[in-house]
Amino acid sequence: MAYRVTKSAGEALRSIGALSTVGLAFVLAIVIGAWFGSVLDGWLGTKPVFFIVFFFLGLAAGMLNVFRTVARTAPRGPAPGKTRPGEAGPSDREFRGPDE
Amino acid sequence: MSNAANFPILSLTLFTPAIGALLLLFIRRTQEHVIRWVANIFAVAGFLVSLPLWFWYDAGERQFQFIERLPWIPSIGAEYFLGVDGFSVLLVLLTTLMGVIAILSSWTAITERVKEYYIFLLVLQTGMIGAFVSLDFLLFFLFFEVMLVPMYFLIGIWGSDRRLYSAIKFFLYTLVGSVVMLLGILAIYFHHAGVTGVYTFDITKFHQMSAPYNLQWWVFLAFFLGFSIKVPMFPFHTWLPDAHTDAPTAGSVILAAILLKMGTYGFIRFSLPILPEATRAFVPMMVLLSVIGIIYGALVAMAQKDWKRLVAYSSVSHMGMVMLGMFALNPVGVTGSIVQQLNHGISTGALFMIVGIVYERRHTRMIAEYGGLSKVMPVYAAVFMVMTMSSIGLPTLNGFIGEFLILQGVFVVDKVWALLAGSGIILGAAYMLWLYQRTMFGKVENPKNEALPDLNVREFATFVPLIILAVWIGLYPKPFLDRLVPTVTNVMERINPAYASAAAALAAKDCADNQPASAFLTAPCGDAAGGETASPPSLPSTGEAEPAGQPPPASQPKTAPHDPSPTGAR
Amino acid sequence: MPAWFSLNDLYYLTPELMLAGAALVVLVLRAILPRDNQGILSWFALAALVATGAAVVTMTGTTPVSVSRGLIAVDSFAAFFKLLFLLAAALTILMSTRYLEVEGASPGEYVFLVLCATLGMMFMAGGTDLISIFVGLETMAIAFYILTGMLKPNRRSNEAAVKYFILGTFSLGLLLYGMSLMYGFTGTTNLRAIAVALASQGRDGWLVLAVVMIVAGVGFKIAAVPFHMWAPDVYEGAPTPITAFLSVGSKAASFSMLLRILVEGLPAASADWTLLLYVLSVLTMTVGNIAALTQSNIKRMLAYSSIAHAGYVLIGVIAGTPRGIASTLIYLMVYAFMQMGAFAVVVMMRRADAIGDELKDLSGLFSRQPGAALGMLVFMLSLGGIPPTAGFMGKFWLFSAAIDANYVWLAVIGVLNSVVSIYYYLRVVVFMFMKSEATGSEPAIGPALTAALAVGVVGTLVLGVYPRPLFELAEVSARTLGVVGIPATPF
Repeated sequence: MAYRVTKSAGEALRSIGALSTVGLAFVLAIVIGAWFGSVLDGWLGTKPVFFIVFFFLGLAAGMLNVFRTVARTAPRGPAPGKTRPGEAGPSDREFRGPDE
Repeated sequence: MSNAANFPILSLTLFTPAIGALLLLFIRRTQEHVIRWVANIFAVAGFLVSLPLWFWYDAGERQFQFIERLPWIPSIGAEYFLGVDGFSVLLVLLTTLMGVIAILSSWTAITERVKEYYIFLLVLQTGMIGAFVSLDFLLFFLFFEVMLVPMYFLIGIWGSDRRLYSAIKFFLYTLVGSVVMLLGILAIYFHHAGVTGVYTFDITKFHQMSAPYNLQWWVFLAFFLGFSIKVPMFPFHTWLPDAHTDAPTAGSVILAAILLKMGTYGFIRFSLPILPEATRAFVPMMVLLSVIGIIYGALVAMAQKDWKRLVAYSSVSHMGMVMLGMFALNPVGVTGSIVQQLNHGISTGALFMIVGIVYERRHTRMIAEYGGLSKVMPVYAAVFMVMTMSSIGLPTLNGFIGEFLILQGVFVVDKVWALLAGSGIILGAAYMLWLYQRTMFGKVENPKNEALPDLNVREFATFVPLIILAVWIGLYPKPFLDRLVPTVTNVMERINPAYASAAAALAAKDCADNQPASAFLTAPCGDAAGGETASPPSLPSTGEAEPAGQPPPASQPKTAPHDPSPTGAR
Repeated sequence: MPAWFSLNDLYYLTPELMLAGAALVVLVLRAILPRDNQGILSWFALAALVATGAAVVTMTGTTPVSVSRGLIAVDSFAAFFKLLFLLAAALTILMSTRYLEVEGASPGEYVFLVLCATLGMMFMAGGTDLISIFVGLETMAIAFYILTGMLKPNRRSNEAAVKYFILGTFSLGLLLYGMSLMYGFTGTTNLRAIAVALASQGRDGWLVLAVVMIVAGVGFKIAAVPFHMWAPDVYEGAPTPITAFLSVGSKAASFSMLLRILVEGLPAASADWTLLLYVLSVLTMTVGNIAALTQSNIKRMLAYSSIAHAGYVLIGVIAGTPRGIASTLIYLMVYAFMQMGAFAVVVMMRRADAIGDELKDLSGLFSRQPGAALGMLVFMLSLGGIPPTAGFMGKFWLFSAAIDANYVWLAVIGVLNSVVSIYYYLRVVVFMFMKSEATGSEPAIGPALTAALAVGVVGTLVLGVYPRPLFELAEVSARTLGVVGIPATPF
């Protein structure tokens, strides 16, 4: 694969560090969501509505965590190859983060 | 005189403009002269093919006529189902006529992107005719929405000032209403299917259906949103001044003369007969909004500095009148409402053209820029005078007939409503005459106005049919009123059965000759009517009494869970 | 004991085998042919897609057939989707020929991967077993990961591929987790067998958990909010024809999978998944449309619009009635025409000296390329649901299904959303028709692209005016869902 995450070893280490937390962040969000939902259900006696909803939201939040981490570490910057050398073209756009 | 050969005249009327638009696609855009000629020829052809509708229409027949019926989407029961009654005949004729006028009036006004302009106008024409002749609800909706796109372009490309803003505002406003209306259509569609087991969008079937009150109530709201935005009624009118002001002249003319009628047509064709009980329940709200519209529109019109905007606000006021007459829910009121729709098309359409003519010469619409034009442009001033008089309801001109019938219809229901509406008419006279005075009389103070050319032959020609119609309806409205009897009777039968029998008797005896209005009212002219039901409602002697647009208790539908009487009116 | 595969099974799998064979031939030819002649591969793939389509039509009888011991169904439902995928793939390849030249990429592995993705989709639509569905899904997904990053020197493309890959893997994991829970709960992976088992076992917490995970996994694939965050970046970064294919083919395939799993396998849990999908649908429509309002990049705008459209389509699934399922099918087919068409115009804007995917690049397009501009007008109106376009007919069906099934508020939210969406679709129209011309070279439109555009326009308009054949086809197809799938003998 022709993509290099970073240039220096330090940055590489940081990226590895960030990426290694992905699994944890993902699972943690789900567990928190599910736990919160079941607590709410316990209080309100609505079992299992809130459990379902918050478990679901936990999944979404977990995904979002993963996405954020990936967006931080993915290759970015100007996109060479969009314009042919020597030809005038629109300038390259900046990378855009996730829009929520 | 009838459609002996079973000629598909409605389809022909419907597709003539579309064929013209298609043909224009293949003409090179540089040949502007050819394009103009082709567009005009097709507009005139469209009018000519629609003319037999006037002669062949049989006013003694209560069913829809010139029926054309083909399967379209059988699996959901949608059909290509066309047909007209007296009401839609008049609107179709008005549409084809205004099409000719609008297209002719654009000859010199439009100089860029001529080809697209005429294509959009012709497509718009097809959309409008389609909405008036469809008897399939889905087909109606299709045409109802198709109109938006060409109008959007007409305003957005050839408009003035804030055209993009006005165009999108027009589009979104109307769209919100129509999509909600679509849900209403679906609701009665499924209700009808649930009751009868037949999936159909046939409007005549819906006309015979009695839906539960609860459903009617919601569907009425949905339809109300769709149609009242189009009319436009008071709180939903804000798109109209913008769209009118920024549209090119022909766009404003079509918008005022035809598109607004789509809303009132919708009420009379759909809301009233399909949802009679809900309609009665909503009378207080509708009347209130109409009256507010009449007075508010007039007051705001008075304050306008922009000529075209003034005419636009006068439209709000006039359409309030139309709605008020309709929701008197008696034959006179509804007849007056329909006549006034035609009148509004004629006079407001003409007024927009009048603005357009000076705008083309001076490129400003500010009233203050003009003054003393009657000396420079005498013919123009004369035409303007006729149309002003028509608009403010001077006797012998068309506006009088409509407003008189409406007031008469409203009067028997509630005197206060009539009084308020009457004050709106007075205000209307005030702002129109003031406008006339400011622009036509006095000295020519602005040097730019000194050499303005008067109307040329083409411009004058665009006014001739409108003036003829204004005088015709003003002096001898009988042919028009006769054609409306079946429609009004049918609507009354659903909404106010006591009146229906009276109206039917009237149609049979043809005693509407000279004074149709009072004949309707004093009901049985002869012995007919009241026989099978209770006696026709007596006129309330005080404004306090419950509205007379009320059927006698015996004929009230028993299924209505709520009291459908509009008791909140006063 | 019936054999795993009989000749009979192979006969019914002819379309899939044909496509797989064609993909392999492309791979071989790519190695043999000189680099200059690789353009011919596109035409070969196109022919293969058409032939496969013919085979699909031939193989599908009126009575559904179950092959490979209930792994795969050959029914009208699958055939409807297969034709949709083949259409989308063919349009993708038509759109790609010139685009690849401009980008300087070789068509060899590109075409191969498009065919592989299509093959995966076909298994997803036909699969009546969690395993076969998952295998199809993986086949499709892996092909798309690579296709997204196909423009090797382009960082945006790389970035999109990485994001898509990592998030896609997580979502597939989720889906697989749900499936394994389902297996643990019922002891089978066959959808019909699951339905039977659940009918007798009743509801249970673990079942709910499995449903939630499956819905979330599929929700990611169809880019439903809140699982949509990847879509704009991926859509923007991927090669434009692939973006189109992704938003049409992948989405339709995921919907076919969703329908198979939920309607065929989990009717017992319908209360749970209806609730979830309801929330998902409302969020998706609303967030998608509102986010699309502010976009200045066409690909991003179409990405958000595509998210919103997933929300609309979910309405049909929620309704769950035959009418609802038929409306889902109809809308996805209609969507294929209009969305592919819109992307064809975006592809056209890509020139040697311009990326052409900003809204302002479309300025004055009408005077430069009237045909393309008119086509785009049709697509935008159709996406917004204005008659007489197919988009209106599609929305009409969705909303009527919702009203029929008594989801009135869902329909109200849906129509209001479609009004909001009109605003940004008309913005495109404003740029094309009402703004002065943009600078840069003339957008060129080759024969292949013209063909793609024409298919889109004709499909959108014809289905808008005369939708009868599509409606009838969809209704027939919807009825075959869930008819077959029980294996002759349990494992």
